[in-house]
Amino acid sequence: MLEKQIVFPMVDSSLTLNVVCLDNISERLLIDINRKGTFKLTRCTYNERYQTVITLVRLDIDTKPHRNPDGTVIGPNHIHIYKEGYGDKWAYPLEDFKCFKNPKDLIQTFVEFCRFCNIIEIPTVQAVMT
Amino acid sequence: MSEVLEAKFFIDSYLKWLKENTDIKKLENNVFELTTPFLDRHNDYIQIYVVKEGDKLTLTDGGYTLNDLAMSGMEMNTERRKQILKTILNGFGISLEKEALVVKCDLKTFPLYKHNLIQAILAINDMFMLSRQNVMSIFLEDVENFLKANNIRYVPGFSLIGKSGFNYRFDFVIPYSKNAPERFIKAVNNPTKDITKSIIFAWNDTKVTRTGETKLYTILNDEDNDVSSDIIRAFLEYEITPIKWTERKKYIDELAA
Repeated sequence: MLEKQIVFPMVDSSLTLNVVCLDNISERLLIDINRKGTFKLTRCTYNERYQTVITLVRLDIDTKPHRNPDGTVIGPNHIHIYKEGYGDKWAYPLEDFKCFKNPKDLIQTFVEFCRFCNIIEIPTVQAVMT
Repeated sequence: MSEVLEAKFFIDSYLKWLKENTDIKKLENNVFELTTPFLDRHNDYIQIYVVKEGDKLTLTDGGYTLNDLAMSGMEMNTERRKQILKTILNGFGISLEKEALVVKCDLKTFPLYKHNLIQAILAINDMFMLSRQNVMSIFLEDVENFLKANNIRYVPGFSLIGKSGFNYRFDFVIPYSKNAPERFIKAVNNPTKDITKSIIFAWNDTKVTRTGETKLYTILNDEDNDVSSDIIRAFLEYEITPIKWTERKKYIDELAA
């Protein structure tokens, strides 16, 4: 990641970070932390996108419930993973992923999300939490 | 089942499904979160918020729709996009407050405006197709359709090796004819200075390797972007013909020759 240190976004704000691919520097990846939303203070989305528009991994914490193309319904904590032919339309319950230890801890979850996305240099996070 | 009964069954079963799949949660004293059975681009359920003050209701998406588009690389940062957004909102009687879609109603008109807000959210979701990467492929298709529609004979996707040994790809090539030289076309969806420089370099590197007269046209998308006069001047300076997409008709004869 290009940033060495970040300030974690406050409620109702967001942050987009640039990621460099080690094996091909012309590839563009972005990581978003989105806490926008007027009514839900606990809501947070972490998003990894390729070429600015293609979502590869999207972790939703306390957001909206989800329905997979096969009809299965998943609660507000879930992780979307890119699938050929479907984009980010498939999601999986977060409890199936043991690498996310405590979704309520948004900063820890950010670090875990970066690891999940194979990011090697994860910035240190300064918390100004509200 | 008679036809009347059958029609009634379809309506009733749909209404039953709507009812069973709509969820309401009270967030604060007068704010309700309504989860609808409609899905957004990510297959997440569309939610709206209802703020109740006496008989007056304010319905809003809480800013989710536009924030989510921005997080997918689709910012409302061009006049064309703002205009499309405004037209969608006007059509459903929805207004924009900061980034949130908002509509005010009362208990009686609630169903209608709830329906309108959901339809607006779905329509704005579809604007994702206008994001730059998506528009690039659509613009290329537009240019190709323009060539086809006007009987301009072309070969799509043509790569050339320049003097430096680098490989460059041009979107279309129109072969030499009795009346006109060989012509290359580069479709430029987002004509920035950097892209202009790289095209000028690519063309200067390749044209010297071609035998006989050869020309380059750049077709510039000026519907989604403003094309500055500096860019036009730069192309002309290097004998590249810039064609603004909105002025493409003027060049039909020249390209078809």
